[in-house]
Amino acid sequence: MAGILAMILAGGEGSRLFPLTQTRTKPAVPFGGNYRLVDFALNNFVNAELMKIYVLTQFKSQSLSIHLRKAWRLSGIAKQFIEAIPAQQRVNKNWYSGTADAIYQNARFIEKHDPEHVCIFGSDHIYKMDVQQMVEHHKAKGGSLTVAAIRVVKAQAYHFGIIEVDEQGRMIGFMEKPSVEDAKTIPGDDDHVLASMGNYIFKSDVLLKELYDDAADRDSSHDFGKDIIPKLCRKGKVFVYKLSDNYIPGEPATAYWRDVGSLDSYWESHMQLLAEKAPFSLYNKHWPLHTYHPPLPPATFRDQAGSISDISRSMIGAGSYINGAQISNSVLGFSCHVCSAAIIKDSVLLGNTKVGSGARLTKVILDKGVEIAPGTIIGENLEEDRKKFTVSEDGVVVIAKGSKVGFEEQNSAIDKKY
Amino acid sequence: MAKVLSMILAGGEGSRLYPLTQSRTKPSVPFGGSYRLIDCVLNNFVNSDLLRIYVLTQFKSQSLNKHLHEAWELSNITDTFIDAIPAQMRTGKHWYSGTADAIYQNLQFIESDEADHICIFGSDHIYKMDIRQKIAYHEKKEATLTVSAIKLPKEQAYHFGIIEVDEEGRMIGFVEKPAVADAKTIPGDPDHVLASMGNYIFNSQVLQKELIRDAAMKKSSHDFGKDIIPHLYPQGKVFVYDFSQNSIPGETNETYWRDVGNIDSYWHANMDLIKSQPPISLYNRRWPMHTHYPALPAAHFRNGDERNCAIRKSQISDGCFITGATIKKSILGFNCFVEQDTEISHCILLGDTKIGKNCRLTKVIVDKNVSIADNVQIGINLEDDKKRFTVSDEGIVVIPKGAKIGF
Repeated sequence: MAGILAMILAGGEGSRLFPLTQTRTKPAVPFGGNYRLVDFALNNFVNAELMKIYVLTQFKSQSLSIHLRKAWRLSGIAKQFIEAIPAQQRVNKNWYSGTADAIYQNARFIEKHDPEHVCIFGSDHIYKMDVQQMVEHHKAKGGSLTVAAIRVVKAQAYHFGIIEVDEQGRMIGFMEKPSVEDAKTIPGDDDHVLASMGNYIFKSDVLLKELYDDAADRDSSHDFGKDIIPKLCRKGKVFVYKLSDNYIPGEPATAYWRDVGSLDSYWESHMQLLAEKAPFSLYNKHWPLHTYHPPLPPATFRDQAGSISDISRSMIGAGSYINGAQISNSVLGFSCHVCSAAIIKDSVLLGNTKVGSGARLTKVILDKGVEIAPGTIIGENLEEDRKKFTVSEDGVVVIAKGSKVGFEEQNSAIDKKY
Repeated sequence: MAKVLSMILAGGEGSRLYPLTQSRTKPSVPFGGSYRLIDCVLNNFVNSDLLRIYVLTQFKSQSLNKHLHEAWELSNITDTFIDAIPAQMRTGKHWYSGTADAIYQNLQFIESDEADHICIFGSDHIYKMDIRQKIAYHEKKEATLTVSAIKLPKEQAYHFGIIEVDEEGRMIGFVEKPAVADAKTIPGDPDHVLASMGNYIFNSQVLQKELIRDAAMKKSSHDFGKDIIPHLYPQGKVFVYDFSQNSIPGETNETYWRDVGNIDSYWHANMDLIKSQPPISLYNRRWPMHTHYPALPAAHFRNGDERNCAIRKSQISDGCFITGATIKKSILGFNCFVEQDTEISHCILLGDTKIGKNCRLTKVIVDKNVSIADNVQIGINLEDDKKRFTVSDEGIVVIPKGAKIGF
């Protein structure tokens, strides 16, 4: 019994991110130009030199599997691995019924490796954490479970699972999305609460025992937050690890952790990358963010018939081809081809996209493989946009993967003519 | 299909590219923002599905080894590999004395291989070639050796090794850098000559025999161009492969082949990439240009206090961070930080570089890890620049690796 095994839960459907999750599971959703959501959790392990990692997949996982194979394959020397485990009916013919069930159905992989501790982490949050430091904390406290938590202002407590702790950092209570009045604040800090990040480190033997007990319990929903943790908490061996105690050289002191669960939070997180004092930076040579990079040349900028490429506050991925367009406050992924006099503002382009000349996009998310006809305007008249596209509460227009936009009218015009 | 083994000569010192070759061998010199020179030939092999490749290194090869390891390591499920072979005194305590000697000293890798054909290619030219098409030609002609050649106007003959051919493409003469008047033109085309590209496909048995024969010749310079080919072609089985016959889907018909042997030709070949109609494109999906990508985010553009970024006819790589600067007709490699009010035009930044505020850089090549302070001007007053930096015949200023300027 030795070492650390990581199990990353990557089965999320991400229905509130629809249509970005129409063809892919949430952890495979592209983010920040070059990345996929799952990359952030994986970098947290790889940069901490914890490299025995299973990624548990379930929902529309093909895109995720391809990404893991291309970006995250390890050499196999030194028994390191990052491997996807698809749901495969190991225990019965059911899909995973909860987070604990997902681990239970793959308990044999834990038994096979016989680690001392098991890290169970989600894969759909944006943050940086040196997981090794949490492991050290977990070992020092000697508990059977350590839960990662972030300090948030009390007024936001109703969004999260709120952990009550004693002075020693021991977990003494847990409430899923409590009302603000009911939320237990941090001892000595009446304005803040501790929200669970859904990241756990278990002592391996405790985890296995709890999983088997829970699996036999017909009343359980087989979920870590709802079933396993409350039970363990009562035994007094659960501790809390604060993200703010995690130190990464070159990172700001304030801990950044974002759920990009909805289209609006997804869009906002991108805009935060562009902010003057960005709360989360993709640049830190002490914490490189690995991902898959397709064979593409640097982004190319051209002028076209008096139209000069004007770029302000934006990120532009490799293989992009900007041919005399205006781009402001936007994030462009790999291989975005933007034609002359197009204007792209406050938008997120996931990649492999073509925007025709003179098109205007404002506050738009373009999924991959989208083609926008010349002169098309999106995001200026939300009433019109709602008829054709998904529009979020905050007015972000989302164009689904592979859409051809603005060409139909031309075709029908041609049809009429002939 | 016949079995093919490839040997890439990557030992070049590239002294005319100094100071870019001060700390690295020529094939390892960065090119086009994200590439190294050697990537061109490796992509030619890999995109041709020829994946059994030895890279023969010798001079300052650490940077090249690292690049090969990071960018070109293949999985070893099948019999495919891209392996660097350093010079290792296999036949005695001497370095490679010529191109043929480099192969001779590694003859055991050919002897122990089952290959029918041995491709011997250089690694410091910029071009795209589907090598399968050349092999098909080599087989059709039943050649013992096929030499690639590019058609050039007769006036340029004195730069190159000029091949004389008969009507069937058989090599019947070869002169290294002839006077223009003496250069033999192509039959039926008195204005053009065929210049050797230094790329060979040999019948494996013939190659082994020739190398052993040549190694024993005390007067030989052990060079393919000077010794092996002149000995082989009179036997009538050496053919010339016209590069313009090579076709790659998605490419323009123009045959593009550049030696980037000196600073000026290096600068011009980079500038070719950002022309309005570039003669060679890095964007062909049917011919992807693989290389190593460090873990970096997309290029980031911020506004300055006074102005936005103006980016004109340029290529900007991942990890660059441009704040309110003007970039014209330039190529920026990975991780270039450019501060506000700075203007960079006709420059090549190889990467990992910081340029301060309010600088002017014109026709400058900036090697890696260079820091330039605020208010520095380079390339404006060449007389001044010559006192501090290497300046080429055409007035390109080169800032060597790791330099700190203006502090």
